[in-house]
Parts: sequence; structure tokens; C-alpha cells
Amino acid sequence: MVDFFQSLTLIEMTAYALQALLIMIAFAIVIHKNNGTIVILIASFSLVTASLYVINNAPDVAIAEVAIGSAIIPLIYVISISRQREFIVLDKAMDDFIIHDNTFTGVGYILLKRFSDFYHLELNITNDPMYYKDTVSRDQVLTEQTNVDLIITKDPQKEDGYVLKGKASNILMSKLEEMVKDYDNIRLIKFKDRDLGE
Amino acid sequence: MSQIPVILIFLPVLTALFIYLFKWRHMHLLALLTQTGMTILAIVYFLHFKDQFEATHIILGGWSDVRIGISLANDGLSMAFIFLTLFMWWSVLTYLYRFGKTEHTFLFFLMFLQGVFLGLLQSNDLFNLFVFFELTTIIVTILIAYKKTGESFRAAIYYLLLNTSGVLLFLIAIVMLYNLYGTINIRVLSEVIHTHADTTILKFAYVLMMTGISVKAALFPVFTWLPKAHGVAQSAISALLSGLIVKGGIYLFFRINFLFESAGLPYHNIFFILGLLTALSGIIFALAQKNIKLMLAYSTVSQIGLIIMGLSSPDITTFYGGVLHTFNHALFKALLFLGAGVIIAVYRTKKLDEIRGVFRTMPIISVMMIIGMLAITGMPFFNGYISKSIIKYGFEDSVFRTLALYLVNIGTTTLFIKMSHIFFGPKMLSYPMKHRQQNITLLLLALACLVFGNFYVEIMDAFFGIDYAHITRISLGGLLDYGITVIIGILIYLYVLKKDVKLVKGIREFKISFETANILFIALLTVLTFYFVIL
Amino acid sequence: MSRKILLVAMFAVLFGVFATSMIELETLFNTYGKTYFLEHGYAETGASNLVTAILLDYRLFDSLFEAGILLIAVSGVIWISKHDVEEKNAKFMIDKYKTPDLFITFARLVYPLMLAFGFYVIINGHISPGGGFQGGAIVATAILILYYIDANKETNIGLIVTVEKILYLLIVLMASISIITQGAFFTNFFNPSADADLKAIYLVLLNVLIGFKVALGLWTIFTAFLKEGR
Repeated sequence: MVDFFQSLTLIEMTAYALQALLIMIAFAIVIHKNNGTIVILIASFSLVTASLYVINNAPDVAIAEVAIGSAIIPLIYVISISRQREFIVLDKAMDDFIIHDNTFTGVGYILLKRFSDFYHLELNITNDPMYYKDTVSRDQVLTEQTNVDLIITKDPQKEDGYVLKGKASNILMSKLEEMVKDYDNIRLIKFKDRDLGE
Repeated sequence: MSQIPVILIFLPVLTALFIYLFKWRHMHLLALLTQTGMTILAIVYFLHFKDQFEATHIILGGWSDVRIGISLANDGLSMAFIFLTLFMWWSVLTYLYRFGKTEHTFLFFLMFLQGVFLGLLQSNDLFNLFVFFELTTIIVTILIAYKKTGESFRAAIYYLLLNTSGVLLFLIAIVMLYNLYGTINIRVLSEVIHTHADTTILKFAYVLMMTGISVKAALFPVFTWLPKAHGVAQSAISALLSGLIVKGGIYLFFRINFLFESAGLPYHNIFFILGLLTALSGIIFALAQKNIKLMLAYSTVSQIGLIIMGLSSPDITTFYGGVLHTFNHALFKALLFLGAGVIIAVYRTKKLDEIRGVFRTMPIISVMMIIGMLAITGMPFFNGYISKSIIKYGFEDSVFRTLALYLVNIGTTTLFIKMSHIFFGPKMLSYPMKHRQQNITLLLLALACLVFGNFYVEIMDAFFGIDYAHITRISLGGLLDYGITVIIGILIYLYVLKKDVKLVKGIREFKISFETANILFIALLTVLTFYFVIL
Repeated sequence: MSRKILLVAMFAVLFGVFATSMIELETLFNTYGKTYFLEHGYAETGASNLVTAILLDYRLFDSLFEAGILLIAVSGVIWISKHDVEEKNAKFMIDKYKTPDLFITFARLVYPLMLAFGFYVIINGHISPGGGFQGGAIVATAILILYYIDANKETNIGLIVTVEKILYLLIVLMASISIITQGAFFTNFFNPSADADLKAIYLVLLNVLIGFKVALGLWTIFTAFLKEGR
């Protein structure tokens, strides 16, 4: 065994060490949960692979691997991950549940802010009337076709109540439901996916 | 003349680029024009090389050594598939034609797919095959996701991930073969492959390739992507996928089996069993569905099982029976899907229970659909009967196999009896205008079903040189068989399915998560490795 | 739990078979392809870099369709990221994160160097490691740095996509010229017995076209991701 290690040249030792490093990085990618960490690990995996390519006399492949795997791919991943963190709310209630001024205030706003801070999301509230053309039946279509996560409307059944609508497949909705239980004038509706699996 | 294969591959690709670059309203006509040109070229090429398919081998680049460089080659099988491809694309293009409107991006992807698929059929080089294989996967993903709804994206990504894993296994196998033999030209390889026939690495390469192909051809247990994809895509795309693209997997199946023929691997029994499992699971799931497109998609799975049962037999007549069933299935499944597309567009729903009265509302389309249903269930006089009888003759000596075949046939008949309930009922009062060209497409396909059902002797002789004169067109035995199948089907439907018992509901809601699909994929690979390498 | 045990068992079997195959391969290795390319590669194609020789001459047909994969992927991404409903939340997307000045200065310094390196790799593909695909990726990365500097950069995606398709058309045409001069598709349009410098013209031209096409394609994908929702 010791003879084996002594008969290796420096290049071969480096190759073996890099391969061991590759296995460790692969394990680390599977174990970690934070998306940012995983992206950095993927970039480093790509870099180590490129070095192995050079050691195995394939410089063309190494150049391609570095350019794509260490530069472009992590960039695209980072953009996608940061888009995931947005929580987009459409306010159709148009009263002082959420007041759209230079800064936001209102009962609704405080609730949503607490929710998004707790889950590390970026809150993004809009009440642009261009966003929707007619009334209730379009809400489900809006949540499906655009990237709106939550729609706030006035509750037709209760005086002074509000309805929050969103997709049932969105995990955040069930978490929001927990938070909304304490408020008795706020209701939550979850749209089930109109799946063609039937 | 000998360079026509290259022109056949690049003409659709260049047309696709032109359609995308020049946004003229009538660009669809250019696509139809290209299609005409290609058909003429293909016919000329076939007539010229009919008896000397060896001479169709061209090396791109003109290199003198046949082991270096990429080559294209044709034979009876690939020519038959080329004609099928051209016909399928004719159908889809005619179906989609709207005067004065062209969806440029859609046609771009569609025509590019045609060029790539023709390349897949004619390629004689393994790595080239891999590139075309991967390219079809990507284009089909985009076509599935074309509608941009939530379920389309889900189905498309599922399809992409599963198929890309399969394709990667194919690539590893190519690397192994290249290292063993120094060449990846299929014709050369099939001659030298027996030199290393007993080594683990060759058998493992075979297993890897076969697993990759099983994913593409939707065999058990990795067929779960097919119902999702075919159920949510546009009807024209579903027709193309069910009819042709999945047959690309079947084409690769027998090409790779030809390649490894001299190595003598015992693949007949295990692929028969896989085909049987595919057929049974397909038909069981199909019977439990309530959505027309899902019923048709699962029926495709079961027919593919039937095809593989035919193709895995060592007897050459049964093998060509499987090939004939491939063509027949393409024709009648495309007919059914396109017809279903028209019905869904008119009735605005996909649920079986909500569609009634098709016969009174759209008589011509109903007749076409009925022809399709008769063909798929194997009524004498239509093409399904011919190919199913050929396969049945092949299994004459084994009771088990004949029984299995009957089971699948009964299942298919029951399924289409269930589906035929859309024809009964009152006429729908107001409906959007239909397009005449859709009627023409359906008519063409129905005619093709009839032609194949009656002139099969000439066709099979012209392409493959196989004599089928011993299979009679209509016989009393055949009609009796069919009648019994229909009666059993009606009985099963009335007593089991109509009540929608708990079992049926359970099957309908049975979902295989993505994680399970991956585990099944690995399991398939392990089982095949066990069977071929270790045993 | 039983699932995990099953999975581990399956992977153990597969790994065992794979390892056995690799050990067998050491003795069964066939070097026909390798020796052919080493002996005849430079003489027939005029490229010292045998990888480029294979990509652009022996197996040009494959490279055409590899470039085609990129074309399809770009068109697909563009189609999927086109939205019918106007995304109106752009105004509220506060870019709280302003790129630091140090970073901008360094990016300005690095950008021309990266661009020059990318062009170098593209043009010298037939002599040194590199080529159209690799160089194109490097040029695309260089262009992406510009987005760090100015997040609201306006890009005309339609123009880039059109140019990319025209480039693909040119690549296919250039590969097909050899049918006239040589009687066979998809090879160098100069004769294999011509002077190495003449053959290099074809290689450089093809590399440049492919490099530009790849750079434009990757740039478009990145822009589509970045601009979605703005």
C-alpha cells in the first residue's frame, strides 16, 4: 500500500486528490439546504472538473467547462433563485387595508410584512388597475397565468372583511393560512389546480 | 441522386429558418410546398435504390476510410419510416392550416423537428444518432410546453428530465463501444461486434443503451411521462408524438438489436415480458380514465407494448408484424387524436361524461373516428386486424402468449366501447365553425387505414420483401374472433366500468411521484444488468 | 427506509458492474481511431489542434446540429419567457442592491481583456486549444459583465435572435460549399492536398461564425432570464 503511494508522480497525486475533493463537494451539494450555498458549490465543482480535464490532457474541454459551468450557469441560477424570493401581491380592495403612499401602511400591510420577513421573501405590492380587466372569475386565471401570488379583495359576505386568494399548490399559502387564523375579518381561499389528471 | 438523404434532412431545417425570419402571413404555404418537394425527392430516391440498398451508404465529407467520419445509410425499414414521417407531417400541416394566419414560431419548431427526425432515421453513426436523439427530446419539450399553462410546463419538464437521463446512459454506452472498437459506424460495428462478445463491458453497454431507449419508447416501468405529455399538449402535437416520435424509440430499439445481433444476447424473452407488462399496465390505466386524451395516451402505451411483443420475437414474420403494427398504429392513433382535437375544440371540454351527441353534430368526423376505433380494435377489413393477426400467428405455439394477446385485445375493445358513448345523444345546438381542411386530413388518414388493411401484401413485399399472402384479409374465423371480443368488452363495460367502483377510482388517482419514477428507472437498469451481465 | 436500502443495493450492483467493465477496458482498448487521427489529422485538414479538426472537418455534420441545439434552446427560452399579460410590477421592483463602485471599476477593466481573450480563442481555434464553441462562451461571459455595471441596460432581443438565425444559415451554407468543389457535403471546400494555410482559411471562417453564433445565443438566454418580469 505504501509502495503504491510512493510510486505516484506529483501529477497523479494531484489528480487523485482532486477526485477525492470532487466526491466531497458532491456530498456537500446533496446535504446543504440553502440555495445560495449550493450554487457556489456547483461553481466550485465545475472548476475542479475543469482542472481534472487539464490534467487528463483535454484543454479544449476545460476552457468550455470553465466558461459555461463556472460563469454562465451560476449566474443564471442566481437570477432564478432571487426571482423565487419575490412575493407578489395584487391589491384589489382599494381601501385602507393597505395604503399605497410613498411608504405602505395599513393593517394588511403589517400582516404581509410580518409574513414575508419571517420567510425571507421580498414583498412586492401593486394595485395597478391595468393588471386586471374584470372581476371575480378572472382571479383564478390571474394566479395561474401571471406570477401574482396573492390577490386581496373585499369580502362580499362580510362587512369590513377581506378575502385573500392564491393557488393551493403554493406552499406559502398554507403558511399564510396559519397566520391569518387570528384575524376574524380575513378569510383565505386557495384555488385548486384545474389539473387535467381527471 | 445519392446525396438526396442530406437534402431530405436539411430542406425542412432551412424552411424552418426561413419561416422564422420572414414573418409573412402566408408562410404556411411554404411549409406545404417544402413538404411536396420532399415527398417527390423521397419517391424518386426510393424507386432508384429499391433493389440496391447497399449503395445508399454515403460518407459525409468524402473520406476514404469508412471508419472515420459520419455516414448515412438507408434500407427498407428506414425508407418505410421516412414515408411514414412525411405522411404524418402532411397530416399535421394540413390540419393546422388556416388561411392567412401563420404561427411562425410553432412552424419553426415543427419543421425543424421533421428534419431532425429524418436525420435520426437515416444516420449510420452512433454519436450522430445520439445528437439527433437529444435534439428531438429538446424540440418535443418545447412543443409540449408551447401553451405555457402550468400543467404544460410540469409535463414538459418531467418529460425533459426523464428522457435526458435516458439519453445520458446512451452516451456512456457509445463511449464504451468506441473505446472497444475504435469506430462508431453502425455497419462496421455490426460486423466486428462479435470479437468481444463475452465481456462484461459489451453486455453493460447493451444494457445502458436499452435502458435509454426504453425511456424514449415508453416501456414499463418508465412510461409515466407519456400520459402526462400527451394529455396536455395540443391535439396536433399529441397526434405527432403518439404517432411518430415514440416510434423513433421503437426504431432505435430494433436498430440497436440489429447492431448487437452477432453478439448473441438473449433479449427475446425479457423484452417480451416487458412488452407484456407495458401493454397490460397501459390498458388497465386507460380503462380507469375519464379524460379522452388520457385514455388515448394510455392506449398508446398499451399498443407499444404490443409492438414490442412482436418485435422481440426471433421469428422474422412476427418481427415484421410488429413493424407493420408500428405503421398502422401511427395511422389510426393520429386519426383518433386529431378527431378528438376537433371534438374538444367544439365541445370545450375533455371529460368523457360531458361529450354526447357527436354523431348528430358532426357526422363526417364521427364516421372517421368510428373507422379509427374499428381499426385499433382489430376489425377485419381494417389495418389493425392484419398486424394483430400476424403477431397472433407468431405466438401460435405458446398458450401463454396467445392468452396475453387476447387479454390486451379485450382491454382495448372495452376501452373504445367506453369511448364510443360520445356518439350517442342529441345534437348540440350551436358550435363554432369547423375547418374543412381538418376533414380532409381525417379523411386521408382513414383512407390510409383502409389501404393498409387491404393492400398489405404488396406494401410489405415492396419494402421488406416479406410474403404475407398467407394472412387472409377477411375470414370467418377472424370475424368470429372479433365478434366475441366485442361481446366480452360490452359485458365488462356494463358490469364493471359503468358503476365506477372504488377500484377504478383508485387506479385513476394513482399517482407516481417523480421520485418514484426515478427509482423505477434505476430499478429497470439494475434488472436488465442482472439479467444480461450477471446471469 | 426500505427505499433507501433498495436504492443503495441497486447502486452497489451497478457500480460493481461498471468497475468490472472499466478494468476489462484496460486490456481491450482499441486505438484505431486514435492512430488514424494522429497520423493523418494535420495533413488532411490543416489544423494542428486535432479536436478542431474533428469538430470542423471529420464530423462537421454533428457540429452543425450541436449549433442547432443551441439555436432551438434559445428560441424555446425566448418563446417561454414572452408574456401576454404585461408585467406591471417593474416599478415596484426596488433595486435595493446597488453594485459597489469598486466592482464597477474592476468590471470596466476586465471587460476588454475578456473580450480580447475570447476573440483570441475563437480565431486561434485551429492552432491552440479553443475554437468556436469555447471562444463563443467566453465572449458571452464578457458581455454579461456589462449587465453588472448597468442593470437597466436596454437590449433588442428580436434583433439578436434574427442575427443568430442568419448566422446559422451562413454556417450551413458554408459547410455545404464543398459539394461544389469536392463532390461531397460537409467538409473543407479546399482539397485535402492543398496547402495548410489555405485550408486554415476555411477553419478560421467557420470558427468565427460559430463563435459569434454561440455568443449571441448565450447572451440571449441570459437576457431573457434577466428581463423576465421587467
